[in-house]
Formats: sequence, structure tokens, C-alpha cells
Amino acid sequence: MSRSLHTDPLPVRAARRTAHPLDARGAHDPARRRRAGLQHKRLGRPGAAAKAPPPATPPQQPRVRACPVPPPWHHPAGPGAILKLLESLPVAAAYGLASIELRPAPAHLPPSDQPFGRYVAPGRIVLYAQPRPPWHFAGGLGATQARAFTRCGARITRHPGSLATTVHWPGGSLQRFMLMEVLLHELGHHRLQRHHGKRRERIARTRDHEAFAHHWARHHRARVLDTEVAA
Amino acid sequence: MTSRHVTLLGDAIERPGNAVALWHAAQLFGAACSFRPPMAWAGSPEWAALETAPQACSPEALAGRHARCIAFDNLPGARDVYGFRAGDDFAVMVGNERRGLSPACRAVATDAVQVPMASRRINCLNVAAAAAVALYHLCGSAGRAMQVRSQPESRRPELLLMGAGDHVELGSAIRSAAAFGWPRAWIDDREHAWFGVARPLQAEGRAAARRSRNPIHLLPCGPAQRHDFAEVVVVTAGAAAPGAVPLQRADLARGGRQLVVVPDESRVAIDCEDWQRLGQRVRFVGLDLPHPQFNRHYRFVASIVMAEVARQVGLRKPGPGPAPPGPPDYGLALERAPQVGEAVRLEDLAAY
Repeated sequence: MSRSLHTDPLPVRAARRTAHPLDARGAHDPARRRRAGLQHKRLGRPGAAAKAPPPATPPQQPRVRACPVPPPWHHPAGPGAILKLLESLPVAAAYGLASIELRPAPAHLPPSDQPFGRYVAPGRIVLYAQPRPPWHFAGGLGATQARAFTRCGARITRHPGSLATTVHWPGGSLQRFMLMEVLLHELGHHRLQRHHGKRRERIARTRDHEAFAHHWARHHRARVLDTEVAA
Repeated sequence: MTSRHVTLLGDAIERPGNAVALWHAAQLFGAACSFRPPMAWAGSPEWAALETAPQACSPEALAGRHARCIAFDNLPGARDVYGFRAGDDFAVMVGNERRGLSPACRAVATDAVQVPMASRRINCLNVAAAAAVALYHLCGSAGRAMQVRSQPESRRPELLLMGAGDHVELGSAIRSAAAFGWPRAWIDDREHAWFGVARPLQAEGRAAARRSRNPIHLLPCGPAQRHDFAEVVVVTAGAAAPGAVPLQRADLARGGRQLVVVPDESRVAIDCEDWQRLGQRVRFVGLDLPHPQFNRHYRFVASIVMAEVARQVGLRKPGPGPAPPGPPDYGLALERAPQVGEAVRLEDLAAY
């Protein structure tokens, strides 16, 4: 099988391209450098070999844009916390991601349909503003949702004798939820969509896309937590 | 009409019935008829009944005799037969039943012309019926081009095929109806040519109608059955009924309240039929054939009428098409438990 820079595994390709984001795609191809050296040698200029690649710069992170929101809404995870999380992830996780936007919740949705985040192909993640805790709901929470909340430190209170639920977010637990559950889940969508090349096409059924994003988020959440514990 | 110099060429026709029908179609329009070999049917009893020898002709010889050679087949880039001006000196070439026109005929063709088909499953007519449609439009006045409408199907009239005496002729007419886009047709089977016939006749008729891939819905209609259509158009090809209007001047696209009746005039007496039982207003339309004294196959008359109705009904105006799907978009939102309990209205609470 012929190999080129374009057939590199994604982690290798992502690290190379994010370190030199403004270079041409084949700029650091060793084969090209070798061919150029041979050409110079044939022309009688053996010393004028192609230049070695410049030293790598820190990988460029996606742009994080925050829209101000009126109270009682707020963005639990600010741009700084988001960039810090991205630095702790492999470079390939955010490779190809154009922007992460912190936006107000869509006005057309009722408050009961509280959105957390959205991934729009080919490379846009939207994290929606959330109301300040505690959160009060009419009715109960789904089992998966309740597990995700408690995993991040939330306290869920089901009022006996009524159909209401209250969720308390002590300390930075809400920020933790937005980063570890929501942002990682949307990055999982991006990872799958990016890996398949057809970046504007629906490359998997919604159920499969969601399942991949869920497992990807769970895997990287464990890695990030291990890193935090080690630190 | 007599000043025209027209030849109909059948290209490697396989079935003797089609060869005979092509001969009759040429006679009907005052054209010469030739065949490109092979002509294995030349000794068949069907052709022997004509008491004449078939004329063999090569495409090259045909091209030397006529100013234009028109390939009548659904070839890429073919123009519609509606509104096509062929002139006075031309040859029409129709192809083999299965393979269409041969490369030798295509090579000498100066024009490619086709009848636009509305159906996706039946994409061609019987070869003799197609030849009749071609000669009707090319030998007569050029007529008008195909109509373009936003909702053509709302203009399509109902169709009644009445009294056909031959199962193959009726089958070919049914095939034409499906090809021109009729989803259903009424069949007045007073001659017992279609429903409940013997097995061999049934097989031949269904094969002529291409029933294996022909989705048309056939509705039996008795000779005494009454209907209430707003307008009934009766097509006559023989002696024109008094007050009959030419086919191309008649409005045949008035929708489902209009019924177009194509009677087999060898079996149905136009004057003796009670047309008022079919609808409120009865009009007669004449085909205006150049030589109606020759054998008018039922498939010719029916296909010519259906082609004209299909032209007036028209094709759908090309639109912008469906909007392309947006980029993939996956959202994550609060997941609520299924609602439990019962919804209670305030009025009910007050009453309680």
C-alpha cells in the first residue's frame, strides 16, 4: 500500500497539522525533502538542501466565543475552563473543530425542554446557557440523566407527595457537568464525523452516532479523571 | 398529402403480426413500406394473406431515396414528435420489437424523433402503433408542441376502450394507455376479447399489453352500464359523424369529468349506440385519416388518440426539486422521565 501524509493515522496527522496550521498540506513530507535534496545535488548545489521543518508550535485550539446572557441564565463553563479541558485531551479530539460557542438557549423552546449542547457538522459545537441552580422540574428525571447529574456531584431531591424534582449543583458541579458530560459528548460526535471524511453528510444513523459519542465521552472522561488524580 | 414522398421502414421486425400491421399503417397514410432483412416472417400465413411480397431495403438505399431519414425511437437527444416538421420527402425508421433501431439505421438517420412517454415502467409502444402515431403526426400538419403544466394529472380524462374485437389489438391499446400515463382505463368487453377468454387468447392479450410490468388498473364496463360524466368525447376514424371536430382541435384535457371513448368501429356501430348513457354532453371527434378505407387497426386509432390526449394533458413543469438536507446536527437536552399521574383541569378541581 502506498503511503503519504494524507494516509497518516488521524492522531499523527492531527498533531502535525495543528502544530503548523498555516503550512501547505505536504510541507513537511520527508519524501519531498529528499527529492528536493536530490534535485539540488544533481544541479551541483549539494549544500542547498531543503530546509528542515520549523519547530512545532503549541497546537492551535478552536475558537471559543461567548455570548453574554441575561440573568438568571449563565454559562457554567467559561472559555478558560473549556480550553483547559481541550489541552488535557489528545490533539485529535478537537482537530478540525472550528468553534465552540456559548450561546443563550433557543427562544423557541419551552423551558421544560432545556437544551445543553449541540454539534453541527462539520465543526461547530454550541453550549447553551443554563439557569442558575437550584433547578426545579415538574415531574421526574430520566434514569440516564439522573446518573449523569449525580456523577458530576449534583444532588437530586424528589419531593414526596408531589411530582416535582429539585436539582442542586454544589460548588463547581454544574461546570463539571457541562464539560465532562456535554462537551465531551459533542466532541465524540465531532470525532466520528471527522474520522469519516464525509464531513457534511450524515455518516451514521442518529442512534449509532449518539452511541459512539456516549462511549467516546465515557472513555475520555475516565482518562481526564485519571490525569486529575495523578496531578 | 398526395405530393408527399414517404417511406416506412421496419428494421428487422420479428413478428409477422407486426409486419402486417406496419404494412397497413403505411397504407393508411399513403406511404410506401419496406423492411430491412431479416424477414423470417415472409412465408407466414399472416403475411401470405396480404398477397404481396415484402420489399426489402437497406438503410443506405433508403437514405439515397429520401431527403431525410427519421429514426423513430427513444434515443438520447431525440426530439418530440409533437410539432416536428418533417417536410414532404422523408423516411421513418422503426426498430426491432426488442432491440430497437440497429446501428446501421442510426448511422443514416438525419433526425431522431420520439413520442414522449409518461410511464416509468412501460417506456415504448407497440412498433406498429408507434409507426401509426409517427405517420399521423409527420404526414399531417405539424400540430402543437407538448403542453407544460403545473398539475398535468388533474387534466387527464378518463378512457374507455369500447368493443375491441381482437385481443392483441386491445392488449396493444392497453399498453399504449399505460405508456401515456393512464393509471386506469375502462374496458367495454362486449366482444369477449379480454375478460374470461380462453387461456391461449388470454396469454397473447396479456403479452401484448405487457401485463407483467404494466400497472394500469382495468375496470370492466358493461354495454348497458350508465355513467354520469360531464362530457363524453367519442372518437371516430371512419366516416365522420355529423359535427365531428378534428382531433387536434378538440379539447381533450378537461380532467376526470371528461370521458374519451375509443370504439372499435369494425364492431361498434357509432350511429346505433346510445351515447347519452355515458354522460350529459356527447361530442364526436374525427381522426381525419388520409386513406381511411384501408385496414384501421384498433391499436392505431387508440394510440393516435391517446398520444394527442397525452400531448394536451402535458408534462409537469420542472420545479426546483426538494431542498437539500442540512448538515448533520445532534443535540443534547434534558431527559425527563415519562409523565406519570393524570392531567386535571381547574374546572374539575373547583367542582370537586
